[in-house]
Amino acid sequence: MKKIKYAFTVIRIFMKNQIQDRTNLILDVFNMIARCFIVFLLYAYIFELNGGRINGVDYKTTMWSMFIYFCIMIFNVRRLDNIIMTDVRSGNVEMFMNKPSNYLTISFMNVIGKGIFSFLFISILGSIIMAFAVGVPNLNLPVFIPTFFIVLILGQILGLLVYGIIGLMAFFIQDIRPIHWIVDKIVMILGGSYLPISMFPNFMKLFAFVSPFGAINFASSTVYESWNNEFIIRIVLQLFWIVVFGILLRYVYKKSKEKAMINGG
Amino acid sequence: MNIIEVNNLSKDYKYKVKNKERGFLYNLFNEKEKVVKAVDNISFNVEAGETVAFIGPNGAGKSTTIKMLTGILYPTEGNIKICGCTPIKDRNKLAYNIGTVFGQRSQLLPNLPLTESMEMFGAMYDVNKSAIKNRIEDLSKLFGLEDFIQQPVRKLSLGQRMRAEIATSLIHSPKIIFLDEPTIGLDVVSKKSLRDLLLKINREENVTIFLTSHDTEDIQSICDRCIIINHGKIIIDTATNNLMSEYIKNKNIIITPNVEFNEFPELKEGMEYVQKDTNQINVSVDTEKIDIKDALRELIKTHDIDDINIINESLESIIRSIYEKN
Repeated sequence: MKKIKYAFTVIRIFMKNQIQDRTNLILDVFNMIARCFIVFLLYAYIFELNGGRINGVDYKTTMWSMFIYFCIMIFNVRRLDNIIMTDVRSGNVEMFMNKPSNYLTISFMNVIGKGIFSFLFISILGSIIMAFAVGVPNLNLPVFIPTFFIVLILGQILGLLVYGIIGLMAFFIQDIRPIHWIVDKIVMILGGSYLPISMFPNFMKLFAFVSPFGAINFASSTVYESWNNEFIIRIVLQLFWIVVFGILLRYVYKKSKEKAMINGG
Repeated sequence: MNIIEVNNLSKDYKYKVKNKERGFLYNLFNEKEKVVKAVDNISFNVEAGETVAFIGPNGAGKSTTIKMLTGILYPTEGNIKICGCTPIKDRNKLAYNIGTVFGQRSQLLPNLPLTESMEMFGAMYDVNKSAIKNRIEDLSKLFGLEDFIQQPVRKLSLGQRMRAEIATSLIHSPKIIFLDEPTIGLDVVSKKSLRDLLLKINREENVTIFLTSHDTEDIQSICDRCIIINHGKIIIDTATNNLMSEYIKNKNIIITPNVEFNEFPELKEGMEYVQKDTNQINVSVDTEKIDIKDALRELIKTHDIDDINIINESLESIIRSIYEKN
């Protein structure tokens, strides 16, 4: 309880620090509008050409899936590795390595605090606009509502672990941007950034299903009809990957601390 | 009671060296490692409430030592005990007993008032809400933060920010504060005010101060004890006052004439003109070669003097000569 209270205090303060600069929120809103506007127009045309359905999924459901994906991108746990790399390269990591919380926990809270306000603001406002502009998809609400929040939270935890490991690589190789680029593009593709998941060929659907990179964005699959049959196995998969990457992160963090070298010592 | 115990502490850094006579491919597969001893088998103890200056030239190993003491870096060899904790093993426990300030870095949140950063760090150190509030009030009075405590940190001057950094690092009432060049970049007024504050927390809260600085004024005005490190080894560990008395080997005698000086007679061995003007002469006296009284007699004999000043060598030049010797 004490730890949860502490986490909320720190996340709230990081969030306040972030929203003092309102340009971030404005940029996030514009980012969302630009993405949705282009993608929605493009796919409206593609769905029209295909008689309104592709792979058995309609336009409305596909757009909600992409909207959820874009909201997750606004939350932006992907920036975690860059935050760690910047701290390691500047030596600022030392400011947090001698605190009672470990450096990774502080970085997690930092990245959550940075993204949470834009994420909540845009997803709530965006959902209302989506409901009017595109319509509400047919959902099995008793399954959708609890499982959506579970896979969303588990996916973000997994994202923090994956990007945390990439960030810690900065203790060994200094520049982690090439690794970030490769992993990030896989996460984006499997999450449905470029192509909606409903349009994936079968082998890619399978890869998105079983790989940890796809599991980060399982929330964007919750609007599909198949979700009702898949949610248990997807949650199990997310938990499995969280355990695997959690152990890996712990190991890499231990090695990183041993490897730490900071300017002027 | 020793609050810091350091025994045979060493830290090696390894880096890759290329063979300049061989090509890229050879070096790609045959890189050799070079080992640099940043800290070389040092031992010292610090008692609770002491004020210690840990000084040395750039690259001497002082920051590396501080980072090992605070649990940031792993030692290659040796033992450290800070408040009974081994920094690497008991990093969390240690964190509650120490505060750190690194002059070139900031732990404060730039967009928010200082109180928010203090609240965050207070929560990090398990201080409850009402205790944080009281502590912020106390520190605010002690450090004179009232005027700017509600301003966003990015709008503070460097002097104000450093006061804020030190106050924040004391939010959990640590027993020791480690300061790595806390006065770097500050103007003379801000430096003085910061030094006064450090002395105040040492006296009023009995906080042990362990400080590195290149500013001899910091050392002279804050620290009772001075540990000098060079090439990773401790070369001197003594009271700051002893450093002044034991290592002063030069004094300067400044004389002004009754009538203008026109002649500058040759001086005895151990005496040397530093300045030769018609209205003032400055003579450096090596006290190991000639007694100051003899030097004074010699000058009185050879010059028509109106006024005399004898000035001790500054701590800065004493430390410089110690660095140069080693």
